[in-house]
Amino acid sequence: MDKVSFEVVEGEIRALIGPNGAGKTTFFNMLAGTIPPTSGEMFFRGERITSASSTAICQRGLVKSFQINQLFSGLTVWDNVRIPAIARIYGKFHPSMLRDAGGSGELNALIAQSLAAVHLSERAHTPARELAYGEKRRLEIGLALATKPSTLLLDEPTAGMSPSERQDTIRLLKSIAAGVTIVIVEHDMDVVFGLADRITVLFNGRKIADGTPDAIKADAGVRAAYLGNPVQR
Amino acid sequence: MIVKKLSARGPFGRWLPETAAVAALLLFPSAFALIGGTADMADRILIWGIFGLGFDILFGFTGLLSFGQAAFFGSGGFMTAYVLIAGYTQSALVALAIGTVFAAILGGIIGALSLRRSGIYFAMLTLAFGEMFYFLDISPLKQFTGGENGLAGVPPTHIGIGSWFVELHTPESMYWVIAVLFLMGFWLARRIVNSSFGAVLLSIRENEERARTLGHDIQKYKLTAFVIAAAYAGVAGSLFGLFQGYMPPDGFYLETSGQLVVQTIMGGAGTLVGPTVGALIWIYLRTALQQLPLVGPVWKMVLGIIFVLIVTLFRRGICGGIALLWRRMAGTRMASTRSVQVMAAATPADSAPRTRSSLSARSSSKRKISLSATVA
Repeated sequence: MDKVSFEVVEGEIRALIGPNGAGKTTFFNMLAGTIPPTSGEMFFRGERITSASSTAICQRGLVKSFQINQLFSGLTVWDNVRIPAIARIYGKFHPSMLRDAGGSGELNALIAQSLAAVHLSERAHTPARELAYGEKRRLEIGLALATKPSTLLLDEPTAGMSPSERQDTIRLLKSIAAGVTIVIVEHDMDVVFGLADRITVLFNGRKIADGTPDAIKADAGVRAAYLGNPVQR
Repeated sequence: MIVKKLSARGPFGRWLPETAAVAALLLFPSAFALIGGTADMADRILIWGIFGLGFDILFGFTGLLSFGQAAFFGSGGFMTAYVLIAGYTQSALVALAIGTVFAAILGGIIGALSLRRSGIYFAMLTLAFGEMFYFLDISPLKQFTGGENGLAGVPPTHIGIGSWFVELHTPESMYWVIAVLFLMGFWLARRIVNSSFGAVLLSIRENEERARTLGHDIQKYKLTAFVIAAAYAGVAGSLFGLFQGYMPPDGFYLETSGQLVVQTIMGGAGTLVGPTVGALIWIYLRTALQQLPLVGPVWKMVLGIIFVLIVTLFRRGICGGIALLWRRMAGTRMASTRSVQVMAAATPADSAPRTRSSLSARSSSKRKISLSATVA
């Protein structure tokens, strides 16, 4: 990354685009605390998160979903979502192991709500590894949602989806967006222009543009670097 | 909610595993005698079973493979034996509690050091600590542990208060003490793995990095699991010394750690009772094979072959295989009753938080910066 400065307003949907290797995922990993930046500062809702751990950042309400599914594949869908819900309701460490064997009402409500949001309620007791690909992608988002984030970082949520699944995902993200700030990395321009309030373009680790969808479409630099290049889709 | 809580265990009732365990423990001595098992072997099996309950929480549920559990088995056993022989207390249960706490404290220290690494490096560190404890036992701490000779003369297990007490001299009577402790240990272990705490342990086994990024302090969870396993090892080690009347240095042998791993894998990791089943097979066959005319001289090889066969045929050990079958048979019924409850729970919860959050974020006229970053 090379001196990228980036600001997201609460409640907006921001897309982060750029060709492969532009540094989008790296940038996300820095925000989520899994890679430390070599220099610079990051603030989340006024608090400095530059050297915070991924656990602490998640507890504050900033969470990332992964480009490649990172599920608890041996657990059921319900138990997958139970993990982030426990972190949200009981905090980062909850050693009281003799109570709440069946889960509290609050916990179960959060799990059920998150599953309903990603349309996986009927699949609650299926092991995650048996889900169809599109369902796995939705569960990936569901895991992030169950941490009750105020800001959600989505790394290519529609990667590998069929066009119809992609449309479903756009609708899904729009419904989630009420109340959550979303930053999304995406290669599919239909998704980007269908969702984003603002778009930031990265190229070779630098920010080359930042603006509304219409401004980005019209930007000559962006067209040259990315949009106009058919190889990059 | 009450309905939901009850059904969280499935349709078979909340206490089924405990009830089954009580029945099995009651019947075990007589059933075991029918195939030539002795009370001494039954006691050993349950002691290894208690040892395995803790180890299964660590290995089967959290995914941490330790080769150094003998360190805690031996430490607990020697502490209990020492406290009784030196006459600090008469009560076997007090001594056992002291040995257990001692093992748990050591578990906290060793765990904090070895959990700084993960995977095979963690396993190697636990192995190194296990060997270190063996060395401490036979050499620098010889005056407390008896070195190579172990601690002989552990008084008969004394349970009770004042003049109301019993002294247990035979393996037959010790069986019931060990069985009660096994039952308590089993109940506790089931509570642990079914709690939210246990769910997080499972998530660590499945995908540690993801559990971390979802907001869990993984290191603390791992350390707690390690201490729990050490405490169980302490109980088992203490019982080992008590029931034999003698605490041998075997407690610290690498073979003890190894046998625990083998029994757990053979019986089925992640099932809690797996290690006990593994111990049953291992201890019974060890004795039975030695008595067979042709097999006797090569019993170790035959036992090895049986281990290989079980691991190859049952990928998840014997209990893992049975549990899989059970779930497949019960699966369809459970899925249908459960999904209805999930839907029911989803409806009321859905509306409330939505409206709240939409007020705070969307309708605020002031543009508030949520996230800002300047990085290189």
